[in-house]
Amino acid sequence: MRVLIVPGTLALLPEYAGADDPILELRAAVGAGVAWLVQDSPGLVGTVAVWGDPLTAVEKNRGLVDPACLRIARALLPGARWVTGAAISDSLLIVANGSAKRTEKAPGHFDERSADFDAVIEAALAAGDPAALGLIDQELGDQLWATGLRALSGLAKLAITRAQLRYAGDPYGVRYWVVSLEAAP
Amino acid sequence: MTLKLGRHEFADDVTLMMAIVNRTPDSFFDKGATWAEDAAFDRVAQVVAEGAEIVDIGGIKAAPGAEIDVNEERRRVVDFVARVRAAYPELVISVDTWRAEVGRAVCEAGADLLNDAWGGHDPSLVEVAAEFGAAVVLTHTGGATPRTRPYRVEYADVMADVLASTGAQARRALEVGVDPASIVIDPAHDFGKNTFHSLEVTRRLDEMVATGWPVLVSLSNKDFVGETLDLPVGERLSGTLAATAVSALAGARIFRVHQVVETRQVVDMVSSIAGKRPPQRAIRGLA
Repeated sequence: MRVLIVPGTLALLPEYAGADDPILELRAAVGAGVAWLVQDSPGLVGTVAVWGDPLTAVEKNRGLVDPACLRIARALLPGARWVTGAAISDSLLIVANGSAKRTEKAPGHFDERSADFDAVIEAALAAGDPAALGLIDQELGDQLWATGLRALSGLAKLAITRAQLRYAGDPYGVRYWVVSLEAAP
Repeated sequence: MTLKLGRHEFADDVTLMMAIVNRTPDSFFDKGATWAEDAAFDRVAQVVAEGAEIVDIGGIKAAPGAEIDVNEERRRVVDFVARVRAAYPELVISVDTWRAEVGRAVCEAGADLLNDAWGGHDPSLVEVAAEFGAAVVLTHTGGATPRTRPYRVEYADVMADVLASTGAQARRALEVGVDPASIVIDPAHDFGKNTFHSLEVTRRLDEMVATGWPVLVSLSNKDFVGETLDLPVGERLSGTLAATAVSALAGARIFRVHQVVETRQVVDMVSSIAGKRPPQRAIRGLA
């Protein structure tokens, strides 16, 4: 099975597109990752699982219906029928990213714990180390405005056979990763 | 409908900057700064660099003054149009003239657009446009004679008169063979109008837009701005830009301007507020 991890930046959504793309490099990596995800099932129209953070109570009160992870999944692969929270199937998209407090200008301002926190997760992703993903400190992740990390910890028991870190960067003070993982069924 | 300005075409959602280039020794704003041909040519280079899609070349100031006959007007603009045409193939060249004879000469020299700022005073001008496949700007002047100032002009309903006049001119332009994609209408602020009239046509510009003809506005540093704010020429940029914003929101397409950069920023900002243009680059709150 194939797992693709992409960040939850709303800049991936077409309704927030400007004339110039602020995430050109990231978008290219995400596009290549999605192509890889469905490589063995061209014209994918079946059901695909997407994991990410659910709507918060505040978001529900504002009238939002679908969580960002689902809307991002639909934007990336409109042909698929996306379902949130489903069990691991042939293809899985995880919407997650590291700290949003990496710099003074970051959305959550600067928190000195960000660099180490993200580095541990990034190493686990690059190495395809599911056990390390299971050990992510979720409380600290919340404090650092990371998103989707509980979904990432859901990979803890997966037998990962191959991992590729396709992109890592923090152009706006949020740590983005694009990672593809192959796992034994 | 696609807007066709001579050899150039534009989609119906784009706004265009028409930069004023005077080959006159006495125009009110630049006071002869681009009277010399090389100075005017430098002005063209500058406004092109600033992003203007159109230059509007004029050889006679609008206000009363020394008589400029056809031959002198031709001397001022025809060779200059040819020079600009050769240097800037992508640029739309407009010429501000009411005379068909001058219109013919500039079309032969490469003009794309005839800006009939005196409202069809010479009925042959649109025939020249038709003959050459040029576009026309049709203006409302209340029937004023070229180069005269309004004197106690009144209308029961100024916008009704603007719509009737520009509508009649558009029908005639079509009859003589002007391409329907090449007709632009202009309320002509300050022409045959007092300040109250110019403010009203600005306020009601959506009625012109609703006709479906692309609307040009020429607001730049004009007396209606000066009188409204009690400011002399040279201190009217803010007022001009306020009128520009209102016109852009109403749907004006072409802006005839002295200051290209400032006007472009205002028009782009308004277009984005109106939801017609995406922000150039947005990441705030989205990262």
